[in-house]
Amino acid sequence: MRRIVRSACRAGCRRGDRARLRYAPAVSSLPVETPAPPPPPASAAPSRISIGELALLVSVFVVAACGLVYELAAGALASYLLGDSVLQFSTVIGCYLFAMGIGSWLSRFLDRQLVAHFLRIELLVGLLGGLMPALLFAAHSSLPHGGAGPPFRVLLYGMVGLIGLLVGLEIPLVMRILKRHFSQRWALRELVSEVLTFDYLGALVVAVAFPLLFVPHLGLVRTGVFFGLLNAAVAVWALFIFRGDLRRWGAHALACAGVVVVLCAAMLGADRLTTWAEDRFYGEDIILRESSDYQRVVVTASSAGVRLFLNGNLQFHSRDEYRYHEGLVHPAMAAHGAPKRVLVLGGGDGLAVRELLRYPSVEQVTLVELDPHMTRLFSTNPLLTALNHGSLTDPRVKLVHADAFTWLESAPGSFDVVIIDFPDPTNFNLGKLYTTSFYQRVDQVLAAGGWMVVQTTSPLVARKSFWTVSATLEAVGLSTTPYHVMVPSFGEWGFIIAGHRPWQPPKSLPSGLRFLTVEGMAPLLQFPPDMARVAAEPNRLSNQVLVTTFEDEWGKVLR
Amino acid sequence: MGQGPALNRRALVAAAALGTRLGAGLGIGLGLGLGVGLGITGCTPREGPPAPVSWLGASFARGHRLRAGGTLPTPAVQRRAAVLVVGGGVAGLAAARGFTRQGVDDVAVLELEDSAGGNSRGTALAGMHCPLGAHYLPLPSPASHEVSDWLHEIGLLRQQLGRTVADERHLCHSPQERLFIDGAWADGLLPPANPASTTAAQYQRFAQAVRREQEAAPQRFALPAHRSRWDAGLAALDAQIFATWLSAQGLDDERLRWYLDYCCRDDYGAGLDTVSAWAGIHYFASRHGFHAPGESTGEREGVFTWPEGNAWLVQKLAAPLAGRIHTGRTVLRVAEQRQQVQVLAWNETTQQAELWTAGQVVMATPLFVAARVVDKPPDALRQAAALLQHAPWLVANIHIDEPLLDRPGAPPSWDNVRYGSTALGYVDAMHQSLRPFAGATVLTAYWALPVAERAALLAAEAPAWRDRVLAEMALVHPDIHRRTQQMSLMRWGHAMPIPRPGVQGHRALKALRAARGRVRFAHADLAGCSVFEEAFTAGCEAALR
Repeated sequence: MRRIVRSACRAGCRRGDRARLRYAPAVSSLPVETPAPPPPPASAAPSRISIGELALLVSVFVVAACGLVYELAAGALASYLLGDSVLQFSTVIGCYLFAMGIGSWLSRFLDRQLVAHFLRIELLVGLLGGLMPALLFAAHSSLPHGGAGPPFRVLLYGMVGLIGLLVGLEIPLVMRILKRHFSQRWALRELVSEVLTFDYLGALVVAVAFPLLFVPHLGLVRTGVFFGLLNAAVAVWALFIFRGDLRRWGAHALACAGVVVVLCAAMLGADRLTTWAEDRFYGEDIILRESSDYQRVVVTASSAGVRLFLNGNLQFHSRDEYRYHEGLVHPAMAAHGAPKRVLVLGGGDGLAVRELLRYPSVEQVTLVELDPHMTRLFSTNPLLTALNHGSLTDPRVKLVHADAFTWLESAPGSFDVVIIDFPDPTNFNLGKLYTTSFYQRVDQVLAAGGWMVVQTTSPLVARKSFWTVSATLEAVGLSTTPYHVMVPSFGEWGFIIAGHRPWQPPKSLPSGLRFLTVEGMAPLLQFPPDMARVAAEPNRLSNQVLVTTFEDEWGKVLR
Repeated sequence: MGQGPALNRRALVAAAALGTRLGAGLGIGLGLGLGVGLGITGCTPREGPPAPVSWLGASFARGHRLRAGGTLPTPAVQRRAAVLVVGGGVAGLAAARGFTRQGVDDVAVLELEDSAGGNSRGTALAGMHCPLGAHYLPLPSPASHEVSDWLHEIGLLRQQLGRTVADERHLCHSPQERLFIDGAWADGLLPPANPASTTAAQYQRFAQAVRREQEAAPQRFALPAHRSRWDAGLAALDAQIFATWLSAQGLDDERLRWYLDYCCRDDYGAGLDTVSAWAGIHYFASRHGFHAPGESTGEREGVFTWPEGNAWLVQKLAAPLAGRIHTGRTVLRVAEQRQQVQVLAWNETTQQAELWTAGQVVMATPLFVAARVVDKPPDALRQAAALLQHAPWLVANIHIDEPLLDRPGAPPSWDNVRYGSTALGYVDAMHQSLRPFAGATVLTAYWALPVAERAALLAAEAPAWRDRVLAEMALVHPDIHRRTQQMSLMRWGHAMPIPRPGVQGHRALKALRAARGRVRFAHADLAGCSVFEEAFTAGCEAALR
């Protein structure tokens, strides 16, 4: 975007369009200060550029690159934090360019100690620009109402304006310095051409590298700081080249050192800042982020509720998990009559167990969960035990940490109800927990007249997967009752009750439920045409059709 | 539980804001923006000592003692049995089982190694079971009814509403096989072919040729092979080399040839330039036929497999014979007398000679061993021993601490083969585990070696073979060296008879199978190829009165 504006400037300098705002004052100020000598004859023009000139031109390149980075970073941040990227980019860039124009115009009022001014400006740009992404992240996270409120916008546009102004001062100053020091070499025409060439080159390099290289690898915060350091490096370079011309050289050196130290500290602290900002930024605290042997567990909390993610997949949102767990547990439990021994496979969050403990008839709940980390978390963390009502520490609950398949081979006794709450069959390892072999094992521990209930992904999104599980349960000789529940966080979600005794809707439900009612059961059993049964092959260990079907169906949605 | 929304705008923001640690060094190293290089941070393999490796199994010295000849030791112990089975492989165990089922209780099995099982033994590495040799059993065909009956007995098969149903727990789980070809893994072992290509056309023609041979007359390609109805056409196939027959049919496609060669090496220990055309066709015709891609095949025929391979079967076979199996006994001499057979054996544990006297002896050893130890061997045995050549094999078990980085395409499978390789690929010992995550495992790499390499296999040091095996694996898995924790190597000097032309129809093998005297013969060698069904059936038949 910026490149286009600048190209227009190049062509438009003659036509006098708005881009002229940027350079025209600077150029027009030149004759005021140092009237341009007549151009030297062509033969006198030096054929080689000295190291000093080259260095200054390189610093033009760097300065231009930095200027563009701050503009892009501000635009990107504004669209990340405030949304509506077209509006944000337009306003940020407009504001920035306008401020640059003001900067260029203001440069006419600087007429002495140009190098010292340049040095100060470089340091200021480095400091402000370099820390801008970090500051904005932090401000967005800590200001009241986050980014939505006016204070954040004031800060955003204030910083953009200030940095734009300083950047606008840079190029005219550089030109004047060059002009002053190398006037015998160059005509104004050549000088402008050289400077602008490097200016545009820097812009091009950064415009390409910013989205492709810097943001993906460094992140916005570190990218900002990195370019701040480049600005500071230009200042240090100027400090070295013009050491003869500068008054109070020591003070300048001290300022340079101070800025470099601050920026280096910011570079090192970027991780902590982004973590902190990320937490704040989500509007919720990541209260827990751990890796067990089996999975990555992340729990977030906000005013809206607590969410659990396993390997990045949302497992529940406290706002609506009651719908899921009431739907999972009560149709089978309440219809059973007097369930005494209940088995829960998976579901280490204890939320299904919480629902089970509503039944006075329940004498023992055996929870088989692979990951001890999960059950420890959900029995000790106060925020989480408040969710599951401390169900995992209830004396009726027996925790077993084992792989369900292996554990079933030597399972003690039989169970009236078996709740199967595994992760979705996203890979061949998990797919094994949805096979005929697995359900045969479960059938062996199912008491006469008992039921198992299986969480069965979404019959709307993954229709064939849902009916594959149904066909699998039927293939081992069980009769099935599929039903579905709307869980806003997940969408339309499916469950299947399977057993040897035909299932009848319950006549009563435990008190205190928020979603299920006796009358409300009937519609859950209705499958409208878009979720209606489709022909499916049973899922076996030797074919694992479910994993492929599941991948296809969810892949279409998530891609 | 639920599948949450995988990505949202905010997640993208966080990713952008955080960046990755990987890039931090890269960006800083870029310098003053003068050059924009696209750095690729490649992983460098951890430099460490190579993984420990060792040879497995009883030393070949026991067997080679027979070769040395010399004077026989004087027996220190005298023992007696109604039936003595020499050799505790699948055939020997099946024979012993056959006798006990007929009420002969006094059966003894003498086994040279320290455990029974022969080619079907297994071991454990890092606490995980893994095979040392044979590692799967296809669902038995109707002709191998002894095998089928036994599988019913141990519960692998059962009758349900008039159909035979296999225990899925022990059928090979999905995904079963994959082939690394054209830079990616493809499902199945048959190289994929463009439907319009000559490869696909040749697949079709080979499938037709197999079907033609199969359907020319009923029961032409039975397994066990001696139950086939032998005819002039089969004799003609048995007289020529498979490669010659393929060329005569105009089947010269590279991919088809590689696949057929792979199958022959995998089952017979030698390629299509060595085995007979009968053997090459029998491989397909005795089972499921050959299915070109796209042909309706119904469900892929299942195979039983276990982490420890067929050692699982051997254990089932040996358990009821506990107490009757005497391991660490090298049989030195079998002498048939008028009323009895005397067997001189060397007890490797006590270092004493034992003289066994039995009413009947079943020689369940390779025929070349039988020819050395049987006193005054019959002509048929001498001819058969001279007829058969055995292929040497190397089986390498590799313990890896984490799953290997995978190439694109089909996911890690039970059997993983690289197209064009002269090795036979590897199987994953933990594939049949039901754990819901991927983790440490043992990969078992198989190499069928040319007969000419037998001496080299015997002489080589284990590290040299470790390097060779890992180098082959590294072509597909560059991180294999880093992941390998330890290895054990099993070398089989005489792993399996090669069904070369003339073997299948040879009279000597028929004669040995039919022998009904005091000394009988039971071994897969009688069938000319080393297959569980052949060995098991031979054992069962030898036990019949």
